[in-house]
Amino acid sequence: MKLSEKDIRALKLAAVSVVVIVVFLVGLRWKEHWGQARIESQVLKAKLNDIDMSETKRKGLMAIVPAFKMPVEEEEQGFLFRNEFNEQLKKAGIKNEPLVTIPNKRAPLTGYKSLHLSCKASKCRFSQVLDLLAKLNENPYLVGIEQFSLKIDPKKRSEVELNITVSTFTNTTSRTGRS
Amino acid sequence: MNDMNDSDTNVGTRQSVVAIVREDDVLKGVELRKRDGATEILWAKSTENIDVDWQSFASECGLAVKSAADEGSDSDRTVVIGFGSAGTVFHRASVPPVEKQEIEPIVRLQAETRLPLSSDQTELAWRADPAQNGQIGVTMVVARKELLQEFVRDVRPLDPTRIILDCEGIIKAWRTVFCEYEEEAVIVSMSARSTQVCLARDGRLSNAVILDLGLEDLSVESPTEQAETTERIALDVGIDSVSSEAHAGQTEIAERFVRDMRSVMDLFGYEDPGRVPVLVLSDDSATYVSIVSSLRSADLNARVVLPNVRTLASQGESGGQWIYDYRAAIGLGLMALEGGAGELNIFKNVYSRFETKKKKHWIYSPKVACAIAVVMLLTLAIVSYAIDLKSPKAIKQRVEAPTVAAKTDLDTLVQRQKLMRMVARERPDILALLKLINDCGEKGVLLNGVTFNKDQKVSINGQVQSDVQLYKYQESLNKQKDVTDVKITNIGRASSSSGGRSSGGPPGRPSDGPPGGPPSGGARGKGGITFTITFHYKNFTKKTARAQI
Repeated sequence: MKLSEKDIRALKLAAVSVVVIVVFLVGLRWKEHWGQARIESQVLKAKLNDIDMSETKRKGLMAIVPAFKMPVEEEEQGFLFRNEFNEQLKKAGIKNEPLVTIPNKRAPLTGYKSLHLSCKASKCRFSQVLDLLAKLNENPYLVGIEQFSLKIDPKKRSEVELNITVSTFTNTTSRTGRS
Repeated sequence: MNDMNDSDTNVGTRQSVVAIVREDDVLKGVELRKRDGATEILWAKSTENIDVDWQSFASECGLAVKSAADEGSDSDRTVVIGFGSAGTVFHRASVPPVEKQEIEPIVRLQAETRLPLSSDQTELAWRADPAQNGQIGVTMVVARKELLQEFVRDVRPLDPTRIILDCEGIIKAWRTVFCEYEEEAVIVSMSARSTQVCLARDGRLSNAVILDLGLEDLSVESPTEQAETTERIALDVGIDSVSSEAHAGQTEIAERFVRDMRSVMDLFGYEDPGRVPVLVLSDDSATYVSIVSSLRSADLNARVVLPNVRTLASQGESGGQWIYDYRAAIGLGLMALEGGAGELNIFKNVYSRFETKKKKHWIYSPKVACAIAVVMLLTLAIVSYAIDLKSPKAIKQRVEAPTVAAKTDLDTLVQRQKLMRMVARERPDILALLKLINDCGEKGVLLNGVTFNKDQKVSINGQVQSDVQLYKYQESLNKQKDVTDVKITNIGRASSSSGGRSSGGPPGRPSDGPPGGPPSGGARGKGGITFTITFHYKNFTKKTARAQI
């Protein structure tokens, strides 16, 4: 059977239509997938921007926070923090009264709570306090000093009464991590 | 279609020449060939209908008409086309006897000064005569480029070997076919509505002019016919003056023609027009005799020149009238048969027979360029897609690789970074604070206690010897960049045994005022003065600032 010009034209048009439909369908899926990949890429880049910082800033941060461990659950974190702080007090030679755990007061960051430890030492030397403060940043669980009070004995000025409250973060979510 | 010899056009056509020329909207074509040293006309055709175009006429003549896409030539006949001189302007110029390559710029310069159009709008062809009296005469012919390009578009399907000015063909026909030859002559070739006046020197075209008067304007009937016509009109109309009026009109046109011819002779540079012969190409009809007699009466050395029928052999019809009708085409055909160059080739830059056969590099093809562009676009899309798809994974792998042992992923790293920054904001440097408090106090300032509470002002208490010392201490604290809002909140007289006792009253001068001048009270007794100073340390003690952070 010989096809007429009209038939050939119709067949060509049909073939082109089929190709266009297939390309359109595949193209749509491809575009969707590409869009997701682009979003994922952008999210990742945003995360990298969060992590990325200049060398100067990184050094500044490391000077303030030379050691850091990711917070774990409250019980374990409290134990680890107390142990480490006790060690630092011992190293500084400060004889303190038993540490008092003050339950969390506020949640500075979603998924985390704050745990405070209060320490009182009725008699210690000023140099010991300075030693403690100098080494305190090396505590990887320490977040900050919430309260600090120093009273100097006017009769014997080398002796001081120290009250210090330090804080740590505890993880309230099930996921835990250490570094 | 006038077919003067339509028989056997396909026999013996090897190495023949077909010449076609348009004359007064009529296309005329002949096929010539050389055999045994003699030139033979195979056929001659012309169109009756003025609407016939070049391609149709070529088809009628049995020529292969090519489309633009056709390549190569399978024709065994050479085709030459005549270009009407009506679209051209001739000039004569003289240049000093210089080398041939130096003549070109001189001629171009002269042409540019004479023409109203710029050089990029025109085409110029020139031919130098032999040097004479220390000067070289140059024949220049100029035409609008657009006109030539249009003509080439029309005739390109005929695949012509050459396109030659038809006046060159006239001169060639005069030299070869017509009886008389003169070294220097003005050749008059008349067609129905125009007259071509060519100056020939040494058998070559030297100048040419087209007059808008032709045979139709100047034709005269035979004396018998004229008498019969006059008598008939006189009987019908009854007016004796018809004959005289017609005669007067004819005379006027003839006079105008003579005037034009004299102007042309002036243009050709002849002060004495009688010196040079004016040869009127003729088919031996009475009109030419009349024209020549008019010219002669105006002191022009004019005479009729008839074709020599024996110079050309013909397979079909022959005769003076027949040769005369096809003189331009025959002249062009003879030029092509001789194959000599040296004609005024005004189509040199406009037409090349092999122009369409030049193969362009495939990269210049629009289709290839489009295909490459599409492929590149697709490649760009695929590469971008691949990058977007793979780069996050690669980054994750790279970031997580050193911390695999610690089972840390990127999210944990981000969280850790955030926490560290927060810790840095939450961690006051108490050691630096103590150092600052100590450095600001001069000798004699005794500190009894320091209290730091987040979101509250730092409080220090101690003992000084005098108010001056206290205010200096306050001032010194105030100058510290990390310290703000320094206030003396309490001043008291110190007991000899204790660190201080609160007086309960207001301080002797405003606590936040600028220190200066001696205190009103001076030293407050032997035990000194106890004081309490409060101030903000960075943002740690400012509740609102911390809340904003």
